[in-house]
Amino acid sequence: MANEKQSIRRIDDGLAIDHLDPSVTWKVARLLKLEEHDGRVSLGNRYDSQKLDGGKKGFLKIEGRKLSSYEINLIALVAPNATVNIISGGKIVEKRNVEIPGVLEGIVACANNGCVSNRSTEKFPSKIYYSNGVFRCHYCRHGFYRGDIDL
Amino acid sequence: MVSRDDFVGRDVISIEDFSKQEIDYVLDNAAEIKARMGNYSQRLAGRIMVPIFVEDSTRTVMSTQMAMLRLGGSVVDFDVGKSSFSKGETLEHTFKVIDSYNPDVVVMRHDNDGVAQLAADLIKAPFINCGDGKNFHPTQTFLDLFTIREHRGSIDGLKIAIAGDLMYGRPVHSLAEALGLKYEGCNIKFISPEQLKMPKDLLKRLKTKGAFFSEHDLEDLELIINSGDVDFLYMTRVQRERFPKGPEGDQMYEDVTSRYNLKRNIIKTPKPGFKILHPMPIFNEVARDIDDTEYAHYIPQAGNGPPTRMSLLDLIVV
Repeated sequence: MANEKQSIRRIDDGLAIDHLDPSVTWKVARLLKLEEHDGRVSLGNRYDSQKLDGGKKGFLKIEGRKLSSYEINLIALVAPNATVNIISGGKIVEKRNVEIPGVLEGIVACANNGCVSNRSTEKFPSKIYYSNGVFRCHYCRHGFYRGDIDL
Repeated sequence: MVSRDDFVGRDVISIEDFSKQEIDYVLDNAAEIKARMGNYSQRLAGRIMVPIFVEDSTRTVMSTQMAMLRLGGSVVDFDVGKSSFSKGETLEHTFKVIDSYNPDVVVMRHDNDGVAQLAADLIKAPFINCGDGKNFHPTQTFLDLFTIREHRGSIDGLKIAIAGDLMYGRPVHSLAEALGLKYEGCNIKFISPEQLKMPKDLLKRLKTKGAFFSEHDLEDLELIINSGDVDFLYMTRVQRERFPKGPEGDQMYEDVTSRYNLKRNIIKTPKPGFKILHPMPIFNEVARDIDDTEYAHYIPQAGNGPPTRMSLLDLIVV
């Protein structure tokens, strides 16, 4: 364990996203478009975890990145158990749990293939409402669940 | 307490957007208009309707346009086949351009689910959804409810069997929602082939709200009619395109249509006052020999299209 901790450098200012299920760590990185981030990014996967059921976890450390509350909560789409530590001056100044936002614009496609928001000729973003475990499209009002989402 | 002010400028996307009291208000207004139609001949004088019928329609387009004309309004002569719709313009641009002309009301039928909401978002004038994909057809539901109430006196406690294509049929989704989610004590029997059952999402919502419903196979149709326990049978057609392409799909379609064919001699002991409704067009699912019986009520039902749509236009157009 001591070696594992030393293998990832600490960050001074930015975010540490922890308690990711190892199967979604890369998905979270893609969701946050980390490939476009010009600061230092560390990704760890399959590290030991006391908290997650499988005993393994993933995490991300992102130097110099700030996220809005909305962006932080988007992480819940793929990693509902994640915690986000906001780091400043080398210290954790805020610890946040994530929850799926009530409105998702241009993030999740409607699960109804016949919905106008899935027409290839149209360019407007999807708009999906979320409440009590159910996603509902603003346009066709089709209801669907997290398992139906393809991110 | 519902008043006319609650409707002014409103869009009509889905029946679910209206409370029971609001639906009753629309139906009361339709009854008044039907009884005294001449009194409304100048109600919308000087107002202009833009009709956008991208998907084929006969009854809905005609009765909606008649409703506007009977209220003294005008209808733009718009041929979708010669329009930018067929030239590949985006819907967003089309709706924004129509909005820039400041119409007084826009009505539309389109083959994509959710287009109605997109149009309503982009067009300031009141918008009426006349059918979007397999989604909603609220004006049909208003006229269905009007017909039921006109014949039966009330909608609460209604016992109805709804048969045919329940998966893709727009009218049956909206009707089931209204009866199951808005009115009290209705009992709905859904009768369909296995491939065309009511969508699970809708059944779940009905169940959550405590609506009374049951699902049946086509073979139960005769038994349900003759149980003497249903006020109405709402028939819908089953279309060939709902089955897989090729010989296997042909066989499935033939199998269903051979079992889904309501004939006069099947109806033996229905409930007194029993009526058959259908959003039309009717193909083989209702035999022609039923047309002349006391049970056939689909022509008067269609005839309620103009006054019901007049009621909506009267209430929402500024």
